[in-house]
Amino acid sequence: MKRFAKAAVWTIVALAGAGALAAIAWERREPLNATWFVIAAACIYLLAYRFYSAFIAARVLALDNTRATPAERLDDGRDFVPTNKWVLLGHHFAAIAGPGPLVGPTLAAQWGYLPGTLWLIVGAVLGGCVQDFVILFCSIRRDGKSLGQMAREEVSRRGGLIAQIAVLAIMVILLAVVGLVVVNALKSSPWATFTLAMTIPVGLLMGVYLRFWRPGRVLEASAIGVALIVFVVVAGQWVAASPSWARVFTLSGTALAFAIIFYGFAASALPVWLLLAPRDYLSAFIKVGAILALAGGILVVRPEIQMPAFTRFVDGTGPVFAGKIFPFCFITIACGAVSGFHALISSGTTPRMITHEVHARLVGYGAMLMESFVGVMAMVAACALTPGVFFAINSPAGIVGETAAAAATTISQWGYPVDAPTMHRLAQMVGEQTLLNRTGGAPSLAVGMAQIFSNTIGGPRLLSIWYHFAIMFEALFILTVLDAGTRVGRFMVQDLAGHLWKPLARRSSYPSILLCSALIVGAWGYFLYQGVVDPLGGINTLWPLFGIANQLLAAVALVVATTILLKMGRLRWIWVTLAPTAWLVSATMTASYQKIFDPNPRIGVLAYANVLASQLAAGKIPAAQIPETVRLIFNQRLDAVVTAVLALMILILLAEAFWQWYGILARRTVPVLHESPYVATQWAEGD
Amino acid sequence: MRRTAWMHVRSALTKTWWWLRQTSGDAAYEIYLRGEARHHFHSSNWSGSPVLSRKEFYLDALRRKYSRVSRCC
Repeated sequence: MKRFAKAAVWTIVALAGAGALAAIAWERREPLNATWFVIAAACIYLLAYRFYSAFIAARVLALDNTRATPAERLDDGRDFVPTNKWVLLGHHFAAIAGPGPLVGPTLAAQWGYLPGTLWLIVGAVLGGCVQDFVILFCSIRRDGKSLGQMAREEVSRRGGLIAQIAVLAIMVILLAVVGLVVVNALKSSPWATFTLAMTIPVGLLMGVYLRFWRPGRVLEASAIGVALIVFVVVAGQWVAASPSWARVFTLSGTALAFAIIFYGFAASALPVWLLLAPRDYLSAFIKVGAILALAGGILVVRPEIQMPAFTRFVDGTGPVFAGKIFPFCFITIACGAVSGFHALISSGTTPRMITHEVHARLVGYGAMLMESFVGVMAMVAACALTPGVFFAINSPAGIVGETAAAAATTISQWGYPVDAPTMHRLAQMVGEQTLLNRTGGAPSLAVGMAQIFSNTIGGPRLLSIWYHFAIMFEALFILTVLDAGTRVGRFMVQDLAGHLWKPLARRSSYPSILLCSALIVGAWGYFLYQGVVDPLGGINTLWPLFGIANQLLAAVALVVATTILLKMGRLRWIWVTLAPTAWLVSATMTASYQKIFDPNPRIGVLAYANVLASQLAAGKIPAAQIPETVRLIFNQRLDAVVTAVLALMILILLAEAFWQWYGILARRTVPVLHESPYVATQWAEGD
Repeated sequence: MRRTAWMHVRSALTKTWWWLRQTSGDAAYEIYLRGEARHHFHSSNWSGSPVLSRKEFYLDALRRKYSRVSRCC
């Protein structure tokens, strides 16, 4: 009877999921309600977790509940700490949840709601969750070794080096692109700039509290911090209303870029307890709170989706950035469906805290499902805006024109009606001077979130407060990624520089800290500046580059996972990791090729450089703009080189892996697994 | 009947509070102390180093946490 009831429940879940998905895919007559998105995503996630992850756990990985994990064998109370699975799920989710799943789907909404939503769900279930789960398992079996170490031991020495370089490359591009998102969110906005600037003194106060007054009392300090942040969000409107103060906090894109570069340098070089850690605590609470609030808001308000299933930009002429659905939609969504970066967390802290191998299913597969759900909610928030407003916010001036009237005319001609007074009124309602040309995803997501929040609590009166709360939340945790990333990047540069001159490898030596911080900040700062001054908006070039780097890292992780499965004798189930690898490699390679060689100057960077060079040669560029144009040409060629190097690295790694696989399949080499030896657990078995 | 419902609520609140303290890092020092006590008596993993104070442990934990990738995109 119990079995029958279970089967009935799962059948209902399956039918509900299929029905909701069919509604999303085929409904064309009237605005679709966001509830369908929530039902479709939730039901498919439940089914995938119940059946697909169980299949991977039992058949593909054969998780062994009797085997002691590193947390049990090496328990040292610091790095290796046995941790309850629900607590670890919270830790892991807080670590993997970043700005990517919010920004990526918002940008991908330019193709319509359908391609992005489908990839968010399918990509996560078959790709991203599998990657996180399998890499977590591999690392647990190897005493918590990192992805780079596993690549070196299981694939080849060169594979390890490629993983290391890929991590550094993705870090540089990631930090530049998220910095650009913040710049575009704060540009000419005294309210948002003031709020974000005030998070620094709030962070410093929390740092001193946690270091000297009440060491380690994270919840107390965070409660104080959150209260102060809510106050500064509200206080921002008074600053924006005062002409003299508003002038102080109204910054241009270039000024903001330099401020962020300086902040990144300071956060990397200063003691971690002073600024980085307290802001990280603050950001984690606000992040989880805002995500829960967004989920609750969508369920309460049940907004109508205004965006069509497909827009005219499926032809590759998108204003946010150019390119067709394949490969660019997959590159754009990146983190919400598959994120290579997660492999670093799955092979970092998490495997050292897991008490039973079977918990890897909940933590690895489950946390990524939650992340994908965040992506679906971001998609809903972006698509709840009318398409005209969405494109007005996200299109760069170089495409739609500088003035509100020009932008409104261009966008209306595309078939998405919007007029200048509407945009002006909306900007006034959210307390901004303008919402035009704010490429990057953060402002349009904030408008979408603010509409959902204000329909839940406060009505139109609170729209501006909610908008600035959303901007603060996005910018705060983007800056957390930026400072934590810069610091780790600095360590990586110190390790690499140590090969050249040993003293540089000393992590606590101040000359080395300053030099290596300057190197890493200089690297991402350069790309950030390049993005800020790019007339096409910067996002057009940098976001695809970031997506390519991220998906490349995911491909590295999946190649390592496939090699390990092959060595474990799981040839029959090899498609579980091989299929997403093949998809990611084809999407990444196609995107890289198009980004470098496409004849359309909006897609191919070399074509763009050539157009500029021929204009320069023909004397069509005014004398004042010549140095800027020369720099722009150089930047495009640099982007081509970076993309080519990334693509080349994955090709080398694949060749190395194919050679390994051939050796194993042809029985020319005996597969050697570098697993830690089996030790029986002394603990009661986990569930 | 009402009392049972209240007990359920109280238990849920206690569990949520416990989860929040564990996940946020608020309870990290207590976990460390429990681990140290366990190692003293039962384990060969104990390094023999003196037990850290709350402040020392906090700084040590931060140093370790931010030495590797701790936040994602």
